[in-house]
Amino acid sequence: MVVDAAGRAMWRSVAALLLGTFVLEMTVLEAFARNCPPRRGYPADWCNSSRSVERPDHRKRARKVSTAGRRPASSGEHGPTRNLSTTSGVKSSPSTPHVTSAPAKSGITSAPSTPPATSTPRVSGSGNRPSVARPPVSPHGSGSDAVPSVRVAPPLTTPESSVSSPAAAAARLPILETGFSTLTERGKEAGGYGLYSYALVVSDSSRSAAFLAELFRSTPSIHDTAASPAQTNIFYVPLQKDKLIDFAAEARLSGGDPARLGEIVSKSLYDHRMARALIDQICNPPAESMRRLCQSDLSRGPYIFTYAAPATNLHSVPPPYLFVDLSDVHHHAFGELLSAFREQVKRQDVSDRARIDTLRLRVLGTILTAADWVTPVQRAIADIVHSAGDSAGK
Amino acid sequence: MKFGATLTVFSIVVAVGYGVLFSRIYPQVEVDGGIVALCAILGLVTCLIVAGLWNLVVNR
Repeated sequence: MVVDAAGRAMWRSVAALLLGTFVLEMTVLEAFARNCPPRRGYPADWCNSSRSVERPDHRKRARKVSTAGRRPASSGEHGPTRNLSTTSGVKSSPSTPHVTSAPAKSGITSAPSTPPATSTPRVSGSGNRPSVARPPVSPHGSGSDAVPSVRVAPPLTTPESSVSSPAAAAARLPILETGFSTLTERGKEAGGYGLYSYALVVSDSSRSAAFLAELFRSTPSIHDTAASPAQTNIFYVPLQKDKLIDFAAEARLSGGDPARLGEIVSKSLYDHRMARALIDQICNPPAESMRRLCQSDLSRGPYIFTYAAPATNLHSVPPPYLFVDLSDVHHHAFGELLSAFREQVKRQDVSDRARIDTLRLRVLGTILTAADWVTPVQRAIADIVHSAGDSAGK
Repeated sequence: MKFGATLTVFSIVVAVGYGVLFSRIYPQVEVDGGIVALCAILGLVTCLIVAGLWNLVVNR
């Protein structure tokens, strides 16, 4: 009798354990689905805690703090620009215009040989500051004297410093959209865009074709974007100089089949030389975070490179920038990674990789690799069953 | 036989659950044969683990 009662109690506890594990697993997976990074506390609150600054009660508190002239808590890592602007206002509201001119200066200096970069077309809302003056991450140092050099790559800024920098917060408009465009010549990028991204494919392969197909499928043309250029990330696909008309014709012909367009572009229209040249620029000299990658083969790819200014005509590309290496990414995961990339460029600190280096994408890579392993086994079992059935029939 | 049928039914249910969960978490990824096979294997493994735990608890 006692044994029965003990057994029943044990069964109940095991059932409760299994149920609890299942619920926890579901909430963790749900959090991953919403792309909420793991942090302290219950998984269901992971997303909520990241947006705590946006909650009304927190807003009120932040307002009170700003009125009191104190710096608010730095919990708005994922917060919108408004919050960060508030932060800058709190720090020294009268000097904000002077502070915001600091990155403009540094941005212009960082790309002195770029005529489109220094010009300010179509950016009227943000004053007379050129788009390159709005770095995706903070300028190097907080003072206006910290002017980066083109030749010598300054150290990569940490996300914390860039987020807390009032100049960066006040200067940069949030990116709202990403649109692709073609680039047939180095240094011929259109000026005035918020960010400049490049799809870098170093050689023609099935992976390159899959990447370009996914890019054409998921990213609208730059002409179809509705946001102002200053709030748009232009995603350039380098094309051979004389292949622009061919590209237009192929895009029209392929209609709703981006896979075909990606294959054709990778095979015969893409300018692999320009892509390699841009990678050479990034690695000449490499930033600290890029040193290991630059010393590797660099013949796999594809890669995505994002910079605050047109980068193809720079002799050397100084950080900060975002460089995404897709060499080890499964080709079925390109869509998810491009989606994560588009989220990443909308962040205040573009180079912090918070949306790229996630557990969610790492798990996806593992699942897809496991699926690749399973497929041959599945086929082998199907063959065995088939042959066994045939021999039994005879 | 009864155990086999129950295991099969529950494996299928769990495998479908895994597949749905995967497509919800990764909406941009195409669910191909490999993913389906992986879900089936994971469903079967999950059910076997649960059955093993069940037997462990009941026979103790």
